[in-house]
Amino acid sequence: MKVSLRVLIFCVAYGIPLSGLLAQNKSGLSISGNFTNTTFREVVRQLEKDHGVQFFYNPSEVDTLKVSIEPKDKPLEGFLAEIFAGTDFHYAMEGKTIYITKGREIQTSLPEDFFAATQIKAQPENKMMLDYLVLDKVDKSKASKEERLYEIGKRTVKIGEGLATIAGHIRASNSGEAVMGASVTTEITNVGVATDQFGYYSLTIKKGAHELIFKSVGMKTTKRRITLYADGQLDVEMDEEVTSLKEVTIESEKDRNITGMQMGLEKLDIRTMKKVPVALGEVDILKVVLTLPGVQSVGEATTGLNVRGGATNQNLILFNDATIYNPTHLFGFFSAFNPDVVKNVELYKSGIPAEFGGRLSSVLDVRTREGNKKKFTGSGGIGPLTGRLTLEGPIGGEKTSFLIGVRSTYSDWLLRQVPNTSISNSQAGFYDVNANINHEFNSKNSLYLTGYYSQDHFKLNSDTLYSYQNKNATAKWKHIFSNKLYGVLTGAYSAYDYSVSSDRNPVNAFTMKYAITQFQGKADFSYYPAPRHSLNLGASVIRYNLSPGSFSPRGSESLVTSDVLQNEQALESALYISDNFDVSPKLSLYGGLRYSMFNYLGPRQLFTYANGQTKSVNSIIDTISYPSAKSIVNYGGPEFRLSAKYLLSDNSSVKFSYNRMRQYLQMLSNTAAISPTDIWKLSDPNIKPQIGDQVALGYYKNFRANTLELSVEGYYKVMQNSLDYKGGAKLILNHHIETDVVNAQGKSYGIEILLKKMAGKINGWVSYTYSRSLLRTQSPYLSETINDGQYYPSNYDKPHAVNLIGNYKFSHRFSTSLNVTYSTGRPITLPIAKYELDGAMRLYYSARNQYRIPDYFRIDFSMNIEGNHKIHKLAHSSWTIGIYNLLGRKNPYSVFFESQGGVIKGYQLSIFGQPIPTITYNFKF
Amino acid sequence: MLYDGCLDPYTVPGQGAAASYLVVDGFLDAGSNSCSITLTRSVALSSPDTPPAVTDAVVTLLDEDGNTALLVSQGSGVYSASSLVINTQKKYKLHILTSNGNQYESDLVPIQQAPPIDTIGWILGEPKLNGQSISLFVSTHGTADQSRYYLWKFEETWEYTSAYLASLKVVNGQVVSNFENTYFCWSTVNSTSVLINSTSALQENVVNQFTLATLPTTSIKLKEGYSLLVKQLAITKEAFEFWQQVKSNTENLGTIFGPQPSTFSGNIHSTTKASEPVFGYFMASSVSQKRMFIKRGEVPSPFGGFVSGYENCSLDSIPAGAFAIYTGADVLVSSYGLGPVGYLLSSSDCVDCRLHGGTNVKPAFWY
Repeated sequence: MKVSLRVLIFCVAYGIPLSGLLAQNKSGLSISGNFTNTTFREVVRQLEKDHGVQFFYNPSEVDTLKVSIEPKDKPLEGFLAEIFAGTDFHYAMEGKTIYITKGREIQTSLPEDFFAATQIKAQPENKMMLDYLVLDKVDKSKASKEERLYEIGKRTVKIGEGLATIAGHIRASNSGEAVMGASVTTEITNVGVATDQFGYYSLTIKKGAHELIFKSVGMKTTKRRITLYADGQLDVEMDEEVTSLKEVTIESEKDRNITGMQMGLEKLDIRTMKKVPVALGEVDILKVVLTLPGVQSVGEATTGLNVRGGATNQNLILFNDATIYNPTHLFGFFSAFNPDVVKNVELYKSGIPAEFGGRLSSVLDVRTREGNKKKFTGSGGIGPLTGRLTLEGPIGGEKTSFLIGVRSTYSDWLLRQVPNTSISNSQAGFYDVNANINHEFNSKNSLYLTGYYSQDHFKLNSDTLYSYQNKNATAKWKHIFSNKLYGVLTGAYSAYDYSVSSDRNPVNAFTMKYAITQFQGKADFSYYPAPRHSLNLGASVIRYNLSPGSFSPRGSESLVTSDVLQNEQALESALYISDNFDVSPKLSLYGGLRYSMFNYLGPRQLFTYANGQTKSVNSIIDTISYPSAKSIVNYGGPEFRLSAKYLLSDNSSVKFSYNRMRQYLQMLSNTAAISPTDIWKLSDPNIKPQIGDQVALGYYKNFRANTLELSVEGYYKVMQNSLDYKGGAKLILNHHIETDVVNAQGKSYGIEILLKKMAGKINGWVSYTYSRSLLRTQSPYLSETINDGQYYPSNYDKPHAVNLIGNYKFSHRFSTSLNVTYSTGRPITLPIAKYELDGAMRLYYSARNQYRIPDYFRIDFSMNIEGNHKIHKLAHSSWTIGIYNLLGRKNPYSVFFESQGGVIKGYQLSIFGQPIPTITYNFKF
Repeated sequence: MLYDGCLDPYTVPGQGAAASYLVVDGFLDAGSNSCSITLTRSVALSSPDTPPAVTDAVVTLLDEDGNTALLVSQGSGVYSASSLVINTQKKYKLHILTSNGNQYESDLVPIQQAPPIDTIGWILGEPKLNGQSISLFVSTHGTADQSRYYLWKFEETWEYTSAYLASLKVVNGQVVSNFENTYFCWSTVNSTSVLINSTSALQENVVNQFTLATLPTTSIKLKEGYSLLVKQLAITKEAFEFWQQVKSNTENLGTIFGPQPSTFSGNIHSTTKASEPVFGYFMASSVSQKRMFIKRGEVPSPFGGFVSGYENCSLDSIPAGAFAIYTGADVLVSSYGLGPVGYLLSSSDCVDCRLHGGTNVKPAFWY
């Protein structure tokens, strides 16, 4: 009875035609009795006697099959299913005749009109896939799905020679959302593929019998036994790993470390991130990323990441394919990404694939969820500063779903914690909105629309108002041409702008504005021509429009003279192709070529500087006007991306990668300030694009049945045309910024050691990084030379860093985590003496970045208390209690000097000099 | 919660004696054949002391052929010599031997010829709600083969008066007439900002109205009379770059968008210990100078009056009889009534103009 009821509920809920399933249930027979420890033969004898049915089977095959069931009015079909659950047996029913087969199902038992005829006619090759899916749903037993034999392609008597391609989508069983980055491998070989951002995979293997293994972060590993006759589809639903004590999250993807092609890639699933202790009651993606080896930041409340010795502007931060220019809220205390809508984060530190370009150091690819396709749900939380709410659900069937997430601050609690009175008297807040809609037209065409808007504002000392906005929109159309080829067409819009205004003094009231907008179009194709090759190719075009700054009077009384910098515009385009080639089960190679081009476009007036002189106002010799759309300067060139992986044994491998990156857009930032007034500047005739080359070598080993993961990666990186600033550089509203920057050459190198334990009651990771990041200026001019042209540490050079994330799970409902962070203090330039020259006191500064602020050390603690885990409950809720900076250590954020009574005194300022307790309530319905 | 504890004192590590570096300020005046160099030492940032003068060094001027001339210590760290024999075709350098045996030497520098100053003057700025200012400017031009880099120093002198003219004073307890001038004073200060300009990007070697300073029209300097003496030096490109660094490093740091400080070195080096920093830049140039006056009333008087520094001054009156018992710090200003009936008093700060930094002797150049 139970089974048929489920079937019925399922059908009503999902509107699938009942006829097909009723056909299954047409016997109308109910079985009762006591079959405890009975042989199958005995059961057959009983049924044939009681119900007049006839069984056909091979007696030798069922010899060992024992039955232990006590059915009560159970339909025959359900009864049989229960018997065969977890076995290799299949049954088929025709009238009162029942066929039992082992290993292979009888195809003819499924009538042609089993499902809506249109579907079958339109995509005959989908038939099998659909059949199995429904059967999976009828019988939720994982075992039956895993034991069932799936036939892919049109069955032939004899399995043909050669290869066939199996493709399909992997989705989460509870929400229907695509599972991204899931690996699909065959049982024997290590040949495998990963699902793309749409949960789509395509695997070309030999025809015949295989066992496919599906693994993904936070999902239960599942497998499918298939017989591959010809090209076909297999969609798989994976169950979420809920609250198992022993198997914890990443466990399922445990050998990716060894067998995955990509090195220098950190994948973080939102489930993993949610375990890390939080500072302000909210999961912060960037803060978690900062605990990874090779990722650092300048300070506690600063915006941006420094990846492997790169500047903050050298990271390409993508949010659903649209570039995010300011990834933080509220002085960097929050990241721009609402944790409730994020699905996963990938950080590429080396071996960056050819489809990415435009930044030197890394790619941080953040993807949001699509929205639950099966039911309407919501989640949210409230912490000391922010509240958030996310709603999602299907729109008219399983083909369309939406997701809306809103987050906003509601208090100035944080600012009052800052010791500086001018900040604690200030007001600040932000909100952001995410909206996604996706629609599947048919199994070949899907459309994804995402939008993001964030707004930040703060009034410093109740006087000057700062505000900034991120605006992003993406439209993506995915088309599957065949099992071996699909394409994605993406249009993305990114805009970032800020304004600073003051009206305290009506005479001096002003508004200062900055804006950058970016339109991007790209086409990406994935092609799997042969089993051991996977090809990616595509093209992209980005149009930049910048309003680098305007300063204008505010109000009628203002006497401020306006000052508007000329707009900048440019076109960045790229073509790429790459191939992943599995040379042998042990050796895989990746080769990619990206060719990028940059055109700096008019209209614009540019200064020409005298040859053989340092660029300064005094050496301007001419001003040239370029008309609209005129290409003023072109840059470009090839970018090679190479990787190799060699398996040393089943549980160890070495990987190597080389990549070249080109960057045509740089951020000019005055690191002394905690302000969002950073300026993005396009490369132009005076500021050359940055070029970076990196080689990396890694060794990976798993211990103790893949529960302990060790990675050791070393890298060496050189960067050309990095920017640093002249002494006294002015960055804001500068009509000739080139006179204030210096061309620097950067090099960075380091070694990263990461030990991960993702299974067991105690899990987490510990990492140690030794890294150096150095810059050198090379110029014949004194004013363009820093530290006599010698290498000097960059602002984010922190040689030693240790991070520990440890989780301990006491029970299903109570878990704790600890985060320990240590790093060398960042370099600073200090005044070390004063002297009198030419009638005034002058300060003598140390060479650039020759001193360091004291080392940074912090411990955070958090605990999660969840409600009971009854599945059917109105709302699930949890409490997160956290203490940031448990030891209350006063980690210096900055050092500054103040003249008091003729004496210059130094002070160090710490942002969070005391333990900060927070409590957050999260809910889900 | 109180988070004041988040601010802690910070001492720069490794400071102390090491912060005491030699500072060399001065140049060879090839026009007057004289050279004056001031030697001081830098002090630690936190030190309340003024930079100490180096008085026991041996300072020598050398030409490229090795001919030497000794600069004689004048006290307070000043070393000078006049009536030098200068060959403008030669390069000169400075050699310093300090008492601890350390030797310092400058690079050889060529002698630059400063062209005469064409004009100096002032321009009244646009009126703004927060007041009006004048800009003091200098214009000059050189020939194409002369240096295109200029450095200016100026000396400004202004006349001012104390709040009250004291006609009486007390000597040995007796009220007598005061004939000493404590009312009219002249203050002189030197420029403190780095004043440099370059014509290297221009087709001609012309400096047109380079702003040396701005003065609000409310400045006390403009009340009674003002004089500006501008000294113009021609400098090398290297010296120009040095001063540009000094300027950006010290004149606009510390704001929220504060620029990155930088290190730089001049052309003086320690020959004993190459890594030891030495501050200053030795230059050699003729000096051309020009003086101008802004007389009382030439600049429109400010609407709200001048900011004199005597705003808080007031007169107090006491009966004549009470004078004997009045022992306050105040001084007499004048008497009133016959006999007199009483005296007017004020603080010495309001009466003696010398207490505001000036001298009561009219400068020789004053009109």
